[in-house]
Amino acid sequence: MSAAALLPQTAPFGDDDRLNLDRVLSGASATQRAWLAGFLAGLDAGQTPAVRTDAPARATEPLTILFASESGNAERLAHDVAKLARKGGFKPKVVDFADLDLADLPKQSRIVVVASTWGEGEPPSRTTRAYADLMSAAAPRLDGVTFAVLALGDTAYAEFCAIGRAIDARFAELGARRAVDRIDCDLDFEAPAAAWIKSTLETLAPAREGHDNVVAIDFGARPGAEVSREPVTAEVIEHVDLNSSRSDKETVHLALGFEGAAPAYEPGDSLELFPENDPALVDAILGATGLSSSDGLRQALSGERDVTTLSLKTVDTFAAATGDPQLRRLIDEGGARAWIEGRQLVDLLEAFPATLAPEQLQALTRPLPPRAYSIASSRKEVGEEAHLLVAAVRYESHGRARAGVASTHVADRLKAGGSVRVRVKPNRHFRLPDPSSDIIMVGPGTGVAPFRAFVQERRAVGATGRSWLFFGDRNFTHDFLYQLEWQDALKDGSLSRIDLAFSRDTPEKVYVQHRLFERRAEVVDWLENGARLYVCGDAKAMAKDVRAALVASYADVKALSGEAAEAAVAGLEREKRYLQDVY
Amino acid sequence: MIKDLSRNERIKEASQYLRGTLAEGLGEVVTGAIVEDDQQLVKFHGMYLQDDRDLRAERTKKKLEKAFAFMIRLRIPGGVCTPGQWLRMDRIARDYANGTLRLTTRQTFQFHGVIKSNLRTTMKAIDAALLDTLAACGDVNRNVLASTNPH
Repeated sequence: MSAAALLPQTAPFGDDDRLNLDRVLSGASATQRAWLAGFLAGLDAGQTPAVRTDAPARATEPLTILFASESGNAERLAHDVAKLARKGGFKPKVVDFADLDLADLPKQSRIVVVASTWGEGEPPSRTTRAYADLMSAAAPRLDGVTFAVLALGDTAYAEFCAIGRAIDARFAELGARRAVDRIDCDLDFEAPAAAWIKSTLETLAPAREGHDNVVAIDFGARPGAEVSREPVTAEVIEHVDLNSSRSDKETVHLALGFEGAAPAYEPGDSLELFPENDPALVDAILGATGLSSSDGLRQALSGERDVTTLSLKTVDTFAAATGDPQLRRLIDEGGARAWIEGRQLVDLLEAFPATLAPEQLQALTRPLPPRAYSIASSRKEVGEEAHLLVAAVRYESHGRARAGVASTHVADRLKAGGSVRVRVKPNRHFRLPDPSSDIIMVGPGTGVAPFRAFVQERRAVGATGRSWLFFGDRNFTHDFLYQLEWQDALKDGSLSRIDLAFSRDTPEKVYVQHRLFERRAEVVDWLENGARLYVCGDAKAMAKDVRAALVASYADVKALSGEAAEAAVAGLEREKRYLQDVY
Repeated sequence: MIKDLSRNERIKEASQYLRGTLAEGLGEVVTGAIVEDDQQLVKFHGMYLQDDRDLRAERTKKKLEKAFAFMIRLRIPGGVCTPGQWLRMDRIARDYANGTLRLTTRQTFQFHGVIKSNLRTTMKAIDAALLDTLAACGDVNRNVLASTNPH
């Protein structure tokens, strides 16, 4: 058997050893080789001085990667930076901005910041306090720190990448040296972010002599924790509108099945769903631009391009392409920002009609991003399925009926027996505690989805801790999502308590935060006994109101000043006992 | 002696003067219903539990229990009420019932579609208007029904 020699003649082994190694290695699978590489590296790492090669000192240049993440994208990119940095000779450390001790910042020599912007120019909710500290007069000087900022955002919002921009400016103001210009990424951040990370690490790289071919091993990677980024096709097993036919809401319970195993997900994780655009809207857009619906173009517009979002950038691109004088005037007079408010691409195309080439139309759109939904099931209970809870978004603006792309794809165009592409999006900051711990879950509307997963999981593992759900919606009779299941859960003990807030059953609106405050003595008691409190759902109002209600509860129950009560809740956040998944 | 009585009589006998487990039942927020024995007792307090038959077929599939709600009937001796009381009943019908206020042949008002979580508020509002629902349903006597034209 004459396997091709793997080890070069120059390998620092005797001939016999080299041939023996070759014999083993040439027959080894990729997995075996990777294992061996890791094993040997780990062995040396464990007994440091045993083998001292004369290779240049590696993995000693520290690099701090600071991320501010809401949906997990910034966090994932931060880990990408770390992975690549390790290969580039750094010793990377990934730090969650939410956990940042500002006093540590000046001690870092190099910092790569990955920051996402949320809603109308706000920092990710978990990082609100750390962000305020950084922006305050109390922030320390950062002389001697070198930094670079990768900003994530969404051009559909006026304050695009506001947080990344602000951190970038603040670091410079505090005396840090900007190594690389900031990059502002839109929803299609993957490619530009990857390119920026690569070039930034090259710029930041410590000077090294010559090349070496030491295999880089990523000790940071946690085997098993890696979830495939490759979308898989799921079949729709169940598609039910959970609201009664008398409700004006439409919330779809979607049970997805998979060929073989369901993608590995944990309670708390989300599933990204790849939607398709409304065919009627695609027709309207093709009609407005005088394009025939050739199959290729139609397909691209249906499944690959975001044909609804209208940003200032789109307006500029369109004006440049058409030279429409009226539109030009609108832009020059500064009226474009107000004009796009509540409007979509189709409105622009119809208001300023022009015949476009297919490429010009494509240039007005960005890639259609998947939409993440919290998973509403536990694999321990539903097996190889994943359940989602999707509220159809419909409204009217500027005289036209509008529809949420992903939610109405699910509600209107997905049927039992149909299929859809999905991908797991892990949410490591929203996990169940030890089964013996108590949990309080606040999840009105579709915010209840992860808590259905939590209750299923705790039932399956026989959790001994108590659980308490605060749910709310519009009407008890018509909008009580999963009512029969909560009744069963209360009976079998997997749910200990439930409190409900239906806003339209009474003249005065009652929301979950009101119920939380009504029950403040017991809520605070649970929390004092180590319970965790989870909040899922609307970020704009609900999450803030719930937090305020908890602060008020602490103030009242423990007779604290407003400041001390705020500190008590901030303490819960620091201890990761006040956790949010809001959108 | 008591074992010769009908089931309803035995429920009444054991009910601590028509209290039953109503207080606990009102606290069971996850369901719009009350337990069966209490369903008999509430009749003496002027109400009974219904469910919307038109919605029955879809409810289980939607993971919802039956669309329960209470009918509440007032008891107005002689059928006399003031305009002010009528207006207050009208308000209650809009705020806590299904928006209709029904006049009955037994000279009284009744509300439909009052859900359990609004029961307490509704009863208090009726009481505050100096009207009540005592013994408006079940094995009780009611206003006499007669022709208004003796000829």
